[in-house]
Amino acid sequence: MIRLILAIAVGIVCYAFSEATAIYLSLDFAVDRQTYDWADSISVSRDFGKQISFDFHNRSQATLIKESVFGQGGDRWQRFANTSATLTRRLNDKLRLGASFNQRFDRLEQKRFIGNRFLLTSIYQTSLISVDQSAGLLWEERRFEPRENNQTGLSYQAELRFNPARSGRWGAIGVAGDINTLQQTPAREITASYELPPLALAGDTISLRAEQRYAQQKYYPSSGNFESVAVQNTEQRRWDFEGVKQLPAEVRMNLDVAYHYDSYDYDYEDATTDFIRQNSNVTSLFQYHLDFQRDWGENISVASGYLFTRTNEDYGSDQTNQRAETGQITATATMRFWDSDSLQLTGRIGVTSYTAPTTSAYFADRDRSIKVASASLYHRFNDYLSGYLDGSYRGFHTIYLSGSLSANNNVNNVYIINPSLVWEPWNHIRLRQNYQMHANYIYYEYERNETSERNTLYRRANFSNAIDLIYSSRLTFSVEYSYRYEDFGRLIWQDQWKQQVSWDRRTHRPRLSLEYRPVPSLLFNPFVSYESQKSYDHYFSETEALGARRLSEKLERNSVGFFLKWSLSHNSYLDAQLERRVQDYASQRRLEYDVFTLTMRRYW
Amino acid sequence: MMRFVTAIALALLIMSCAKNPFSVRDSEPPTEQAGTFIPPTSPQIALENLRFAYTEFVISNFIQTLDSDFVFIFDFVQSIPADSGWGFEQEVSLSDNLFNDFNANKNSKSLSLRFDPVIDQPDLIEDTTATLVRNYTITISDSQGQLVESISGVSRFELIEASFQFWAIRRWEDFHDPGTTSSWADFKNAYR
Repeated sequence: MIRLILAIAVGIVCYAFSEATAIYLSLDFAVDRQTYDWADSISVSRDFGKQISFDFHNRSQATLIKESVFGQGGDRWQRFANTSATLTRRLNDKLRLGASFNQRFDRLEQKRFIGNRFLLTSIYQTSLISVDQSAGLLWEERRFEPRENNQTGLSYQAELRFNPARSGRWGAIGVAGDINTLQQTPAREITASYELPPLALAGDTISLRAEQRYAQQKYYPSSGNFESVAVQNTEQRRWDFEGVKQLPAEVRMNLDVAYHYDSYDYDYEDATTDFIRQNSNVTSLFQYHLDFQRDWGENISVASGYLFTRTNEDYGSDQTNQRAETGQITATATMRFWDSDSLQLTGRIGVTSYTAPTTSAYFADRDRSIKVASASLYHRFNDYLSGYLDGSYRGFHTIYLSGSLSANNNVNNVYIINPSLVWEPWNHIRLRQNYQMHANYIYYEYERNETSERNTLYRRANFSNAIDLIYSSRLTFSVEYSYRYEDFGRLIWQDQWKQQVSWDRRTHRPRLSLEYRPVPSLLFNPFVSYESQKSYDHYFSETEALGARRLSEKLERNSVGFFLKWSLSHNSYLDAQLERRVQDYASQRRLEYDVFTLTMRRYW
Repeated sequence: MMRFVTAIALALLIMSCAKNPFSVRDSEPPTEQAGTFIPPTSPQIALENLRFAYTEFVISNFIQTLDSDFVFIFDFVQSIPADSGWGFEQEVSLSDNLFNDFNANKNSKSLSLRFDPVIDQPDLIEDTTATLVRNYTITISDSQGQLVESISGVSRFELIEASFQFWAIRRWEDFHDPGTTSSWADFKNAYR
């Protein structure tokens, strides 16, 4: 809290100080039952004349969880803060010198970390070359009661960037290094990179980025033990290429190719328990995405593409090494006819295969196929009535190759249709109607001819009606009613799938709300809602062909609250939301709780 | 000439690295019992499926308990980089790694997972969102049934019911028990 007040104070002081100050301030607070969250950040940049500039950044987070979550009692606080301040002086057009201080603070119960870094900095910059350097002191304090650990060291960071041509057409070469000499946990790394920004070549465009990084870092692998140190050696490669080429018949081709390689090698001392040891591993990714697009004016666009991805994971063990390959085709067509109609069609089909390198049928060797098709249609009947129809199909098929897991092979199909209508018969009335029908079929490949309990169908239908009574541009009153039906049961195969319902659930939800703007910058939105839900179980026996339906659960839920948005100016706003919920299950005790959030953003 | 070179380069790329998106491989007939997956028509069933996936080591059932925007957040883990969590892809990758390890060593080690409700933390279930808080205990035993490792802590699960799917875990927060150095996050982190 002290940090929060300090951050606000700094912001206000700097704001009052000068017009040449840029400030960003953000404050968030939320309460949800026993959990309280605070998050705030402030950034201040101030110039003192043309030579001297000052930057300050602070980000703080705090979470309080009341004692009941953790049975052993006591409130649980977790706090984090990262604060930095930098002062630089421009000596001439090419050279700036300065000093910076950074502190990182992290505390959770008996565990505490404070890391400090004080550096002297220099920035040398010409049109062809830039060199950033900083050197200074590090000191860190760790505590996990009753143990503690303090260490100090030196730090040096440097980054060299070279542009062979002022126009940038040859790209930029960079080399960056970072080294610290902390007594127990030193670290060093070096990164070389080359970046070619989008370069036009006779109407086509290419861009490229390549990076190679080596690092070595020592760290404490166990929270409560500062005697044992582990070493992580890292090698990373990144190659990313992007090209756009115009083909005949006004077809545009996009090609993205990426190769990523990560190698992590761990070395532990004998005292470290096996349980927390990470395995050394090497992973690589190769991916390309080829896409063709053709536009006919602004109204019709057709695109189709192919995606290939290959990943290799090597954890040094036959049981866990794995290769995955994905092939996927996508197609999209978007059409707009006049101003009153539009249609979008999308399709996607793909397969991902997971394979162990040693044998083709090794435990989790599997294929996963996906098929997606969707259509969205919009039609405006006249100035007062418009409609929207959205339909989609998603099919997933999971296939394990090994007999030890192939009993899990299943097909999961989802069908959705979602029509809606908006009708404005008069300036002061707007009617909204929405329907949604959802069906999810799941069946297991090797149980298709049985009355398996695992082959199921879930169906859901939502229906919602709303009337907006628009009194003026400042006041709108809304009445909503929604109804939801769900049922679930076994799927039985008798030449075709048939459903035997196990349960059904019906939910009614009326809601009243008001949207009031006493002044244009303030929105006040109170609401109240009531929900009633009844669940029924279905019982079948050999004597009762239709089965019996009995009430199994009843729920009533009330909610009342408001939402407030206050735009203080074009660059700042304040949001607040307070809601009280009361829910009562027939089989459980009554529950009452409040939810409160507060958000503030301000730019100067 | 440039077009010819581009066409040849593309043809070589596709011929050397391509996968047929229309065909899948054949499987062997089942030799063992199937894992347990109950269509998660309520948030509690989604957690039950998570428990089954963790004890039966069926990765496809585990993936079905996660939302595609899933995040895992921990209070602290001693690792490099010093991050605070990970997303869907990494959760699937490390769980696949973990399940394969236990599947391959079924004869020498086993895992059991237990969820218990937390006092004064009843399940909060809204229309399409839910929050469930659970005490958990993970027990790893050897082939003789002797305890090798026991991990306990508290997990807070936020679930959503998307328009095209059942209930799935969107956010999973892991908390150490007071005074302990290892939690579920530490156990998972070893398989990252």
